[in-house]
Amino acid sequence: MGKETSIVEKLELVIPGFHGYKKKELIREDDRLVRGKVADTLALARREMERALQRCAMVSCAQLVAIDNLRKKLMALESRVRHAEAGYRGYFDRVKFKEEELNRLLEYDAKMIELAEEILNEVKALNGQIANPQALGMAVLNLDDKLVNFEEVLGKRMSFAAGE
Amino acid sequence: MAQVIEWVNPGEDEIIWRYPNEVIKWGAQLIVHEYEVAVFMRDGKIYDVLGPGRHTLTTQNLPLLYRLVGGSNSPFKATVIFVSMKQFQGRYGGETQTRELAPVKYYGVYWFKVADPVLFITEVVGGQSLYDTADVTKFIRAYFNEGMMKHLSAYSIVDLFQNLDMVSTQVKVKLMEDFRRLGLELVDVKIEGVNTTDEWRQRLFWIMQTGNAQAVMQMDTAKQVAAELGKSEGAAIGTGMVVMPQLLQQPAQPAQPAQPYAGGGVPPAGYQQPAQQAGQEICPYCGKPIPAGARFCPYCGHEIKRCPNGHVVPEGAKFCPVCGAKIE
Ligand SMILES: [Zn+2]
Ligand SMILES: [Zn+2]
Repeated sequence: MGKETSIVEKLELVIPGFHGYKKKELIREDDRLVRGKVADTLALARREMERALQRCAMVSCAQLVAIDNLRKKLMALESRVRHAEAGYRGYFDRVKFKEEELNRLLEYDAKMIELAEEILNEVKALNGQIANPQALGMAVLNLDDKLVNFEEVLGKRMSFAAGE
Repeated sequence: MAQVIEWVNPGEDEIIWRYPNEVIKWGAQLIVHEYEVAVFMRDGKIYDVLGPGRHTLTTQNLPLLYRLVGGSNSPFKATVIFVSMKQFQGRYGGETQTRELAPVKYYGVYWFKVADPVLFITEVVGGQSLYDTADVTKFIRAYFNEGMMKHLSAYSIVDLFQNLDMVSTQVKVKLMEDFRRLGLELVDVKIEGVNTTDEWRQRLFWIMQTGNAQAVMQMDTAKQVAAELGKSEGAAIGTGMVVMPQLLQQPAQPAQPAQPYAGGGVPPAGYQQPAQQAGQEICPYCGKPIPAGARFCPYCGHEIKRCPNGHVVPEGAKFCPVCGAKIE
């Protein structure tokens, strides 16, 4: 079993209804499903972030402003992922993907989903460290790294999908 | 021709729109644009909710209403309310009092959007009987302002002027919770300015100069503070005074560079905080740091009065708080 097959299978597992861009009339629908899944995961992370912010405000923790900035970053990413379809051209207008293009797209998708999950976990970790200034500082830095990382992959995936 | 229910060309600031015709026919075309939701109500109660798309109204997609009208296929009565899920910006401004009852004016911008249309319609539109965007917007602004006032009043004037970033973030978090109760998401809040009366600005100036909030607060007026502080070396404001005598002994020296408050949270009232950093002067009118030697505050435009040795002095001071020199 090839590497690609296992990626598709993994994606099909986490995204109900995903076709792996195999049916040309469903390519856009598949794209929407992937982004929906990623955005939903980020939305969970945002909700968790808001909880962290509340707890932080209650105990006047030193990272309040930093956490709020991360929240805003997260929100911006979420809406970028969710509403990306506007003006999509390029690959998604193609009748069919070439095999290596398809593999690359699938890899980006898998990476986005993986990173969104990591972000969610990182936010949970952060929320657990509100009362611990030292660990909280680290958690803030870790989350920031993850967000930067995600933004990079998202950017690449978007310009790939736009045919650049 | 089939009935078409559509919110045509909603304006930038429109949050809701009520379809004017309350008689709906089965088979009517409902067009819900991206970033919109259509909510079906009757007698103030919400029945069915439809998201973006082009819907033909059938017994299947309006099951609750269908059941309500007793399964008949004749036209039925319902209020259709469209809710925009876009982000909106609002401006606010108001007055409140700090913990020590200093009057404070504030203003700024906030951004919000509908997060839960059903809760929003229940709490705001139906709950307050506001079916028009202007009324809804007014209600939200008043609600925001009320929360702002309440939350800001928990802080001291020093917090507000010295730790505004922290205070505004804390207040924002509390307001987020308030907004969630209305089905709204408060995306962000910016406090663009806070201000107080001349009297309180001068008091603030003295608090920041001396680091002794309590002593300054015990004086009735800022003028009294200025007079007391200038009376004689080390006399002034009682045992709590640490910084002043030391400064008085070093004429012509700029105020001692002091550790800025290092903790993260908003410090408790009355904490000792000599506010000046090395080479940094503070405007006695708005509390913001000004360039050394400035003749006017770049933030509030006030003229900066100085003693013969060049130190900033607040209005009404008879003596310089730094070197003790007499002010003409
Ligand atoms: Zn000023
Ligand atoms: Zn002086």
